Formats: sequence, C-alpha cells, structure tokens
Amino acid sequence: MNLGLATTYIIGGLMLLSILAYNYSLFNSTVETTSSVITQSKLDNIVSILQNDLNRIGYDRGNSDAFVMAEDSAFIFRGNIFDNDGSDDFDLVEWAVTSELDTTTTNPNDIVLIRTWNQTPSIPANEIEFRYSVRDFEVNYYDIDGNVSAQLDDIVQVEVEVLVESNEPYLTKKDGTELYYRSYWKRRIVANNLIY
Amino acid sequence: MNDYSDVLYLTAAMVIYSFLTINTSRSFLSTSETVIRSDVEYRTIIRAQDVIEQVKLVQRADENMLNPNHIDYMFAGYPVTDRETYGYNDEYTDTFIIDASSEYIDEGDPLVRRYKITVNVINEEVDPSTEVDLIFIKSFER
Repeated sequence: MNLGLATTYIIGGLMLLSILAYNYSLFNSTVETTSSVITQSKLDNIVSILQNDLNRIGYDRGNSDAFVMAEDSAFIFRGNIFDNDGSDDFDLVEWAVTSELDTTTTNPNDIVLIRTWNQTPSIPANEIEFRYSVRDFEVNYYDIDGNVSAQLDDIVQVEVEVLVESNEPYLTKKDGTELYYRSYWKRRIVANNLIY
Repeated sequence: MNDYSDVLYLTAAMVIYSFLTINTSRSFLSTSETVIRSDVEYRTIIRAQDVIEQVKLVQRADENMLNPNHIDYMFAGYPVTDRETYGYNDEYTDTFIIDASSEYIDEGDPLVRRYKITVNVINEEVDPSTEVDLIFIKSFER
C-alpha cells in the first residue's frame, strides 16, 4: 500500500476519533449543565413557596392554634397566605411528603411532595393540591430556646430540609449506574407570628 | 516540496482545532463551576440567614445579648466553624466559618434602641471560597 495513503488514513482516523470523543464530552457536559440548571430552578420554585408559607404560619389566625399537625414528614398550619386575596379568615396549608414514587419523572428516587392549600377551610372541596417531585423532605420543630419541641403550642422555629434531584440522569456509567444532579436547601425559619 | 506543504497545512489545522477545542472545554468548565458555585452560595446565604433568624428571637428583656460588653453577649464565642451534613443518607458535608457581631447604633432616640448585626459566613468547599455578608438592624422599643 502507498505509504502516503496509509499515513493519511492513520492521521485522518486519529482526527475522527478525537472529534468523536470531543463531541461526546461536549454532549455530556451540556446535559449536566442543563440538568443542574433545571434542578436548581425546580428547587427554587419549591423554596419560594415554602418560604412564603413558613413566614405566614400563624398570621391572621385569630384565636385558633397555629399548628394542626407537626411531624417530621408533614405539617399542617393555619395562616393567611396572601393579603387582599378576598378571604377574610386564615387559610389551611399542609405540606406532606409521601412514600409514593413519582412516576412523572424517570428518576426512580423521586417521591411526591404535596402542598394542599385551602383558602376557605370550612369548605374542604376548595382545596388546591400542588405536587412536586423531591428526593427528600424533612421538618424539625424547635421552641424559643432552640430545643426540639414536642408540643404544638411551643413551636417557634421550623427547620426544613429539601433535597431534589434532576428528572433525568446526566450520566450513565458503564455498569449502568445513573448519576443525577442534586440540589439542596435547608433553613431554620423563625415564624414572626409565633414569637409574640 | 508539495508533501512538506501538506504537512504544514495539516499541522496548522490541528493547532487551530486544538485551540478551538481547548477554548470550548474551558468555557464549559467555567459554566459548570458557576453552577456549582451558585449552589454553594445558596447554602452559604442560608447559614447567614439562620443567624439573623436567631437574632429575631431576642426579646426586649434580653437586649444584653446584643451588647458586646455584656457577659450574655450572644456572639462571644464567634467565629465558629460549623460542619453540616446533608443528603438522603447524610453523605455530603459543608463546612462554614460563621462570624457575627453586634454594634449599638446611637441615634439619641430615648424611645428606641437599635443594634446593627453583621453576619459573615465563609464556605471553603470551593476554591476560591464563597463569602457572604448580611446586615440586620434589630430594634427594641423602650
């Protein structure tokens, strides 16, 4: 075979391999970046609503107790979520994570976090349900001194931990392990309306 | 002679191609770093907010907790290093260096006493480290 032709094939082959490897690497990087931005946005959506809710715990509740139920995976509270929303009295809000797997995503770790909001608690049919997919959701409750609170009346601080993963894996390893981008938020909020 | 010029052309093409790939990779690396840093900054801000939440709890009767010269000063032991584990199986760790101080704002108002709380949190999980400063004004009505 012509030496020049063989050399051309070798160099051309190396170039082609290099371009393919580079293309694969760019593709993975793009998928990872897109996954991470979508995951952060997903977490941000949950956190925005959660923070608004937590700061409204007990607001405009009259003589009623602020908390109806407080567990590590769920809580129900009274509070006026939005001012001037046409509802005179408090709303009833529940945040609860279920063990139900979220089938709307391909991530097998995703479970369903449900926010149930009722502006008119006397009419249960008016409940509005929002569903989010999360990896983990935990709630802890503390009294004014920072001790873990067992009594609903003593709760002043609420600590919430939310962990979300990307809906799709950003990388699948050779052994089949799928890697998901994770984003995390944990904050202890002092509910203003419970201090005084 | 023609063969040599081909080699030179090929070398030039490979050099240009290498520059392009290196620059594109650098750009992608920079994007990934930005995404990771934004996540770390997010958590750093939360820690600073947590300190301010604790200041919000201080009642009028406990005003001395914000007086740097008093024995009850709440930031006497600062800065503190705090390691936080998180994740479904607590598989991740973040280390924060939290500093906070309080300063009395003398407004000459006999009815209100105000304190400026400055919180500084550093997260060294990324290089360069992420730093957040938050300022909060706490007021007590006399």
